[in-house]
Amino acid sequence: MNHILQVNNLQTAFKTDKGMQTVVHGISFHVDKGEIVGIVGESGCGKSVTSLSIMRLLHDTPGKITGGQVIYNDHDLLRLPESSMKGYRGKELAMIFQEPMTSLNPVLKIGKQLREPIQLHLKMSKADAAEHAVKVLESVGIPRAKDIMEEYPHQLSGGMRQRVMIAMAISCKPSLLIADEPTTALDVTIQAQILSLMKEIQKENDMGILMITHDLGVVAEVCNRVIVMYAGRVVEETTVELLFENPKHPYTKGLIASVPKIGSGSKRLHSIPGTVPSPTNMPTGCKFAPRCKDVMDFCHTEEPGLIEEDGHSCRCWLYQDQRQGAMTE
Amino acid sequence: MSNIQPEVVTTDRIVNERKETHFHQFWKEFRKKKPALISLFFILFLILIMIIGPSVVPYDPAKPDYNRVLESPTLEHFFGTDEFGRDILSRLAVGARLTLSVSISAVLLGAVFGTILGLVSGFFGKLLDRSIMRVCDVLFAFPDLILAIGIVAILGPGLRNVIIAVSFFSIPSFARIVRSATLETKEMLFVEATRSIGASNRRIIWKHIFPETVPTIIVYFTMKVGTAILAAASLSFLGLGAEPSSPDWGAMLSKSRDYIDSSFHLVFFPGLIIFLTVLAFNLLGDGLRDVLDPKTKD
Repeated sequence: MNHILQVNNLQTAFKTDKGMQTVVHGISFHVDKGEIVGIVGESGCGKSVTSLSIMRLLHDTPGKITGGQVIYNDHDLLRLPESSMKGYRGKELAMIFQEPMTSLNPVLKIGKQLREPIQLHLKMSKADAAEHAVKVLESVGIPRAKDIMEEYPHQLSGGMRQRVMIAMAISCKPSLLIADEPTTALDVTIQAQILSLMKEIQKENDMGILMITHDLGVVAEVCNRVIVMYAGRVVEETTVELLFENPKHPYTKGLIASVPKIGSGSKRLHSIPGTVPSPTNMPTGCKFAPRCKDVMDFCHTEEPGLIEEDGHSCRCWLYQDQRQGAMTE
Repeated sequence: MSNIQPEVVTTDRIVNERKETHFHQFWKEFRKKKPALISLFFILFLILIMIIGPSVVPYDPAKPDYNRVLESPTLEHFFGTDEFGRDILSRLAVGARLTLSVSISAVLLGAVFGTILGLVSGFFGKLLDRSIMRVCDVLFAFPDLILAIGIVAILGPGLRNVIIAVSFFSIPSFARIVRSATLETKEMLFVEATRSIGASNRRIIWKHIFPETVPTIIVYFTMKVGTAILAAASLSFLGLGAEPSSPDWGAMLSKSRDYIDSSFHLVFFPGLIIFLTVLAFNLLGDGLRDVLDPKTKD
């Protein structure tokens, strides 16, 4: 199999006043070469923590990876010493952050920041790195790339900055790009441009992309496969087509129903009642049970397992009888 | 074709204008701060005197003239003469080099060590941070001058030891302000973004966090020079710094206090120049802070 990234049973916990609180509960998934995988879920479901865990960037947070494996090209990234991990970040796995406004250092020129990963990983001279940087900038559709190299981040618009961030991320031709809500802070027309740019770059370089988002529109636009997360767990995983045609999990159904549709009249927008339970106050059974409209009695007492059927996994009692679920757990 | 040419010209012009904005913006703001501007010119003038002083002074600052002892200011001697008939203006001009170089180098030394400690402390945090900050707290507990006197008492008098003493008491203050700037910068997303491209801690500190703290350091440096001049002069006044016969401002003040009743100018002019210099550095620091520190901006 040509999985470039295989995450097995990843667990991440955060240190709080009440001890360690697990926020990512044994997540497993994989990303193949040339595939765009989306991770969807509402705020606080552990999407971003998952991406930071893969990059091992929990350093500045109270978070800690407590178990599992992150296998990249047969190497378990979680077992690497920090010094060799540095060689992977930016070179093999790169990341784009949510806010292009603050992801660039305001006091350094764009050129200097762009040259940084290139000089670091490709061991180029300053002049060669600058030339390479201009090429990359041009490839992400930035006009007058040479001039931009001499400018400061505040002189660029949000869309331009996100392009610069993408340029920086792909400058060393990583095989996996993690995009943490890359279009959330941008307005809609720029969103579309950035998404199509990412698709283009992905085809050109044959990278895998892990797209983290809460926007189902983005998922429908670019992803091949989708992972739906809820309360630190995978609740559904399938291809984009199947997800939108035949969503199984009540949570996914709720998410899809919440997207406004053109031509649906002046009906009120659908919303899922309640909020994501806090890690300190998790329900005992299915974590979605308190908000679920199809809830059954034993949903509250026992958590269902993630069951796969025809390439469509789902964690819900509606699709499995209780005993079968209990066995797989 | 003809309409492409003008467009290129406009872009070029815009780029040029943008290139200038950084310094221009600073200057445009700073120019409005009149006290700071005057202080800047005064300090530049002092620095000029520091460099060319010894070759342009009208009299030899060390040569006694026993015919003109303790003369009040005249047209020949603008600031009068001292108890050996030496020209006070010449002595002050030559002494500028001594006093300013001692205080500036002391603050520079303190700034370098303090900045390193502050960056390391703020960036790595935890036990390292706590121990560095507690040591700084201990140093803070002593009044600056007492600490300096103590250090000079241990190391022995002399200008080199004055530099060490003054730099020593500026270290904790630099460490503390740089630490707080570091803590603030460390949380910014671009630090995480830089780490995500594989940069090492050393690189992040040096290339990304340090530049962010520079404006704070510049402001504080300017203000601290004023304090250092005062401290160096005080130490010399107490006989712990410069040789009593040298034209150091503090030493001149110290020597001339015996004549305060009969020849007021002997004390007045060294005192005035110390006062003006310290004031200038403080006003310049204030002005720089108003312009450079984003928090004080409206």
